[in-house]
Amino acid sequence: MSIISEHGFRMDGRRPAQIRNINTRLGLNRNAEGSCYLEHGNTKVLCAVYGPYESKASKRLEDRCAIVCQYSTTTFSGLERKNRPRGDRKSTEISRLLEKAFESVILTESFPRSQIDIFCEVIQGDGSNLAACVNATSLALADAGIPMKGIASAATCGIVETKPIVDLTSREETDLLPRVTLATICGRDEVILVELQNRLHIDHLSVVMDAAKATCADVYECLAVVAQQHLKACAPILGN
Amino acid sequence: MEVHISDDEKLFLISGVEQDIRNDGRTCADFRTIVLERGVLSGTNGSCRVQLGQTTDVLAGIKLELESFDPAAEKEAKQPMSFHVDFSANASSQFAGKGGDQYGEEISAAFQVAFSRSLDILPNLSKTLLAEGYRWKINVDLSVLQWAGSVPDACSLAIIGALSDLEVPEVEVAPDDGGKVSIVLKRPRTGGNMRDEEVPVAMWKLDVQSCPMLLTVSKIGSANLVDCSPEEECCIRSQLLIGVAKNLNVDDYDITCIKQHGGGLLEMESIQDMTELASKTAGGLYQAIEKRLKTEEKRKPGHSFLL
Repeated sequence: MSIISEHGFRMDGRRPAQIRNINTRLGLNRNAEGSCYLEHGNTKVLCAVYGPYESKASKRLEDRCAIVCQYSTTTFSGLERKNRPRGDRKSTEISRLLEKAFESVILTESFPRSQIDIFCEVIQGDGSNLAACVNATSLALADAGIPMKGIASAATCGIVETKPIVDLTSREETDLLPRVTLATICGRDEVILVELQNRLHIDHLSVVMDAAKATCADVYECLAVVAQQHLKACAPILGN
Repeated sequence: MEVHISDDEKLFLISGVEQDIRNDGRTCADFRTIVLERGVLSGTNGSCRVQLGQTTDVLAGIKLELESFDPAAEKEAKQPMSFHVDFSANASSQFAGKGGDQYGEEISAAFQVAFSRSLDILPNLSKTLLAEGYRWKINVDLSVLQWAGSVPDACSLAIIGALSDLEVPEVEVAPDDGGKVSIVLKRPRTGGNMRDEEVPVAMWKLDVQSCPMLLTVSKIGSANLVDCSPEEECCIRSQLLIGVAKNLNVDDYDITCIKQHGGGLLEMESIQDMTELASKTAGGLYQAIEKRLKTEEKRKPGHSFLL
């Protein structure tokens, strides 16, 4: 089955430049400083932020705080059952990508000698898992009240016969389709994460990057609304 | 989440439970409020989410797998379920990395023991055996999303919920060349103008009214408690993991597993008392689950369960 039908629709009925519905809930984990549950359609991610707290000697940095990320997926999250929820090569790679991305978003100099833990759990994976994790983490950090340069937003985009498609599902994330995951701050021109999978012709690169940037801005709009609504809901507790 | 409470607080808690009053107003045999939702994950064959007292949060997902095995190697039929408990780092930063693996494996092993005779206990589980050498393997995976005590209890409720939600496809087994068999999904024709592969596959469900459950019974002071909160878990002298299964023939309860957990000393008589408390509690839980499973409204697939 082709990814875009002759009438210009995708398998789930979306247009090429349309993202899936984003649903969120903030602050559901009582043990964590900040937490977020986020859905991109059928991709469901849970993120918790612990800290900043005094870090262990091995991780301590004198001038800024250390960011520790852990990405794991439940064994039943994908199409096939996995044996291990974390520790495989792909999860470790995604953990490192998230770590590096959020090191450049969080104002790490504000918390010298401390540590912030970010834990992402993919409850159900239906494509764009890394992008969903970035979005969930941004909101969880905002919920924890950790100072950031802005809210980071991410999107995964692919290209089919010179046409970009955004927010891929797992059925669209095939082995041949080139896909780019891009994360920016506040939907502006500040890229914090970029990852390309599979082979892409260099002429198509700018097309995909433009589509990804535009999608990041769209996703940012959604996340900003969520953060503002949450702040409004918390206003009586904060006392103003 | 690590809990630190002072000696005086512990003393208050212990003398309280010895008079059958707990800090949150429960008696020793009471459970916290249980929230049970089924059909929460569209990507699984059966799923369930259980919350205990709004803080312990467990998600169970079942994936079916067609497994081939060597019948000559198994003296008696092996039960088809396998359990895996994973502590998500979301629950507490102490579970990050390999932090939760040991406790998770301990609980998984206890479930494996509690369910070891499930072919005899669950009335229609033997239907998962399809043909000589082929069976449905039921992978039950649990993810602990939030932790506030009594994880095994929450897990066993989630397992029962997920097993009752599980839909197993009906298959037709036909002999094939070379002594092998061919297994084809059963698609009953109901008329209408549909191609064969568009007819929905017939499904059957497990009967879970006698499904084993694993309960923790803890000794605090001289009292026995079920469903401990994190503060109470700090004061535990010794804890037993007790597997209880309803016996449908004599209307009583069978003990399928007893495991001491976390060290400590126990007298023989205490073990007797604790298993009695477990089977009494199980009676209440079976009733509550039965009621819930009957009255729960069917959700549309893919609804947002944590919202």
